[in-house]
Amino acid sequence: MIIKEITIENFRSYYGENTTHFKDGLALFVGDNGDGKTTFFEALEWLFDTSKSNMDSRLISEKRISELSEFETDTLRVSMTFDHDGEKIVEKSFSFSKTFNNDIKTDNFQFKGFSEEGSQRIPEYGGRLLDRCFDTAIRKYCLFKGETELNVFNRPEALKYLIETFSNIRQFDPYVDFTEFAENQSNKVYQNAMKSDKQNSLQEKELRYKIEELRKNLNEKKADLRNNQNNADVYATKLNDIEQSKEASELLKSLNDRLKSLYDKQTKIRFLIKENYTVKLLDEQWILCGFSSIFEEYQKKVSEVSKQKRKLEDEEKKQKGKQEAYQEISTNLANGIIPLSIYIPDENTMKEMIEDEFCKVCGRKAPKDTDAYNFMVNKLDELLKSQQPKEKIEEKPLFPNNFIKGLEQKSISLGIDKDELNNLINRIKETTEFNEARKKDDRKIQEAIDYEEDNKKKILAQNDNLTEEQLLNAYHNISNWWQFKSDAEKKIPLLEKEIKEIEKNLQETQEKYDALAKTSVANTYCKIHTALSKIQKAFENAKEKNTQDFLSLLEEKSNQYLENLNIDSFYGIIRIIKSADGSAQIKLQDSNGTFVSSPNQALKTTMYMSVLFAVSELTTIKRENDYPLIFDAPTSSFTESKESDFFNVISDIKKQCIIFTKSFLIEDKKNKRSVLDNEKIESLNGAIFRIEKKRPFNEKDLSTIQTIITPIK
Amino acid sequence: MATEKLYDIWARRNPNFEIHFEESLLREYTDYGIGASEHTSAKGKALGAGYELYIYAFFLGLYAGKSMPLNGEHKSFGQPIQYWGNLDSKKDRRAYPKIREYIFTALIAKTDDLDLIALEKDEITERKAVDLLIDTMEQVANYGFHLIENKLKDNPNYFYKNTGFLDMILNLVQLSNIDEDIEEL
Repeated sequence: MIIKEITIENFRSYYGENTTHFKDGLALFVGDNGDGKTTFFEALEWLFDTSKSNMDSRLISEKRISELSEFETDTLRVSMTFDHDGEKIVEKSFSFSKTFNNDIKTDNFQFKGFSEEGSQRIPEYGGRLLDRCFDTAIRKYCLFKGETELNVFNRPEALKYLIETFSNIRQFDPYVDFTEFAENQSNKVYQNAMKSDKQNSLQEKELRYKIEELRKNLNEKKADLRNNQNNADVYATKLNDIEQSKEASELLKSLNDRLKSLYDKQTKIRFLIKENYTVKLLDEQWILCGFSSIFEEYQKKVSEVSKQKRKLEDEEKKQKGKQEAYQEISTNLANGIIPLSIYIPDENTMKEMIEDEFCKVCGRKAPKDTDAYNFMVNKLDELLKSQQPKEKIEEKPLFPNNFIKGLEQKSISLGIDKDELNNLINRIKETTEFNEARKKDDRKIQEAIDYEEDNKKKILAQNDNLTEEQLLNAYHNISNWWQFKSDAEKKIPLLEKEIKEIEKNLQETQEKYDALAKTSVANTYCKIHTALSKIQKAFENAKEKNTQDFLSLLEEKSNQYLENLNIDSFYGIIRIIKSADGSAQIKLQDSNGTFVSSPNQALKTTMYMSVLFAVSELTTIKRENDYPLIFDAPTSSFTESKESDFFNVISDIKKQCIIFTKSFLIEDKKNKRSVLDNEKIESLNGAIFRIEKKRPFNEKDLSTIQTIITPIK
Repeated sequence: MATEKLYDIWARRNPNFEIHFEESLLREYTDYGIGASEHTSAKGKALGAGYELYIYAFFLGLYAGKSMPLNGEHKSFGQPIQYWGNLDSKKDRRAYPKIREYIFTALIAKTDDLDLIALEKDEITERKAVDLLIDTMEQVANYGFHLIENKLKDNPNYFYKNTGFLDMILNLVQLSNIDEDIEEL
């Protein structure tokens, strides 16, 4: 949709018929305070309101009323010609007349519409035509008054509306609904089949009951979580809004500085507190703090056993020694004479003497079977025996094992750390005392934080012209919001943890239930239900993913605009964050991931505008149709140079933008009035209109005020 | 003749515990049954592997100077003692292999039935000797587990305090020190 012409007739300061022609691109209306910029904007708002027949007499030009004679009638009219699949016109009007006692009567409200089709002009109800070409959904992202209204996501339903209207996500809804229904039905059939199976009925009943309970519990917790997330968001926004409204307060600034330094200090101190005592019991071996006496007991026992072993070994040695000595002595003393060595005479001599039956040692005969002969035979036998290899007789040692040596080694190696064992109690004491001292510091800082936060609540509650009672109420409200926010924030992680546990438990129980089905006739139903349940989850996830994709795209486009609108200054990164309740928040983040808590107004304005341009661009792509953006005084907080850059960027965006502004005016000191800064106007691209009061006029008489619009460029 | 050390033979064993402690204590305070994990703190569990609570229970029983035979069904840990406290894959944790050695010395000190001379003489097998050590270990830890359970009966939130586990050990150590002082007197 492109606006081609707007006519305003007898609407407040627009006396008579005023027609302005438009082209695509930027149209800038420059005017001073009270010149009629906002009235032009409001005339459009009145035209675009298709919800009611508003014939408020306060809309009528005072100048025209003052001229009317009794019973004379005239018309208030706003009409717009635009291109949208051919030329179209919407025109809203009503008649007004002066009655006998100068009262104004309004009637004959009309809302007409015409579509050009070929050479024909086809009439249609204006409201319907407008809704068809420029529907309410789009209008919400189109008309903006001042800088404060630019945050389109301030309205909680805005994101949902945007997504549903401009993305393809809605296409998923019937599938999500159907698969949910199918999952539900198949679950019922599956459970019925399980119920009818007598074999497992008791266990089935028990598990089914548990699953139902867990699901109920899970839903309750999820609802609770959403509530808390919502509360945290709502109260954080409320408090943030109040804080921003007091941005200029020096008191608040210094208080925030003090609070920041206290929080920093608290973070540092909390970092020092390490109370993972349970882990230290093992990792730092604190668990051995009472072990000294037990280790001594071990050392004593090992040393005693080792001593005993040595004693026994000693005794055994002595015993063996005695036996050997006795054996030796008894052999030696057998007949009181020490015999010759067994090898004397040698083997051959002995054999020769036996054969000759003669002892050649003593020179006497030794006939067979005599003692002398037998002596020689025995001696030869002994000699021969002694030459045979001896059988080794192995004796079993007293202590075949050597475990005690290992125990002694351990006694020595661990004994080195004995001092450390004795010192453990002191180390534990030092650590716990250190932590307690830091916790005491932390409590002191917390007290200071509480005190400062209380002061902050008081500052936030303050407002001009409040009675003491109202002030107290305001303070009370803020304290409550503070409390609600912090309660909700504390509950969120706890609930998230609980939900995770319930989900795990539910999954385990469902698996047990499904395992039961394997042996039953219900197995087929189980498989069908599992498949449908997976399909349902897939659709749910796809819907969520598409929403996220849409938001990512919106973010990406917004950041492109933000970069263009902020030349040579910090601008950060726009993040569009979806809240638990489905609404969205626009936030600014720096490249380190920190959220910029209160960006300056100019940055905030460009941030919101970037989102608006992005929304507009995306909707153009999705709906194959463009629409204009109309802003009233969006750049009040901009510096001069920023403003010029800003308008030049806007004029490069291929989009119809109608902006009312008081920029580009300078004071003409001679005439004491504002005039156009022609130098700057020259440098601007796009159409420029001067909007001003027709001179002369009486400052105290509204009926002398008339706005005129002059095209400049 | 045995060439191995008694410690090594003992460390290959997996001690038992009464099966009901699995649900009431091990799964409550450790990652028992979850498998190797690096995120103990993220799950809010005070300890990591199941054996960590076993070690804790053992020291409780040890410092209390008491033991209790196991009743009912038993169960053992997946990891033998030789791996306890190695913690190779755990972030923010430190390995504590020496605690295993100290446990062993305590068992040698407290297992009166074990005749080390007879073991050295090979009159009893090393298997029998280690059985006796494990038996002491199981009974001492079992007493510790019952102590924990009783504590929970009095105060179900006792071990959710940062100081819960530490306090219980310190109380027993201080009590045993007092006993020693009295003996000395």
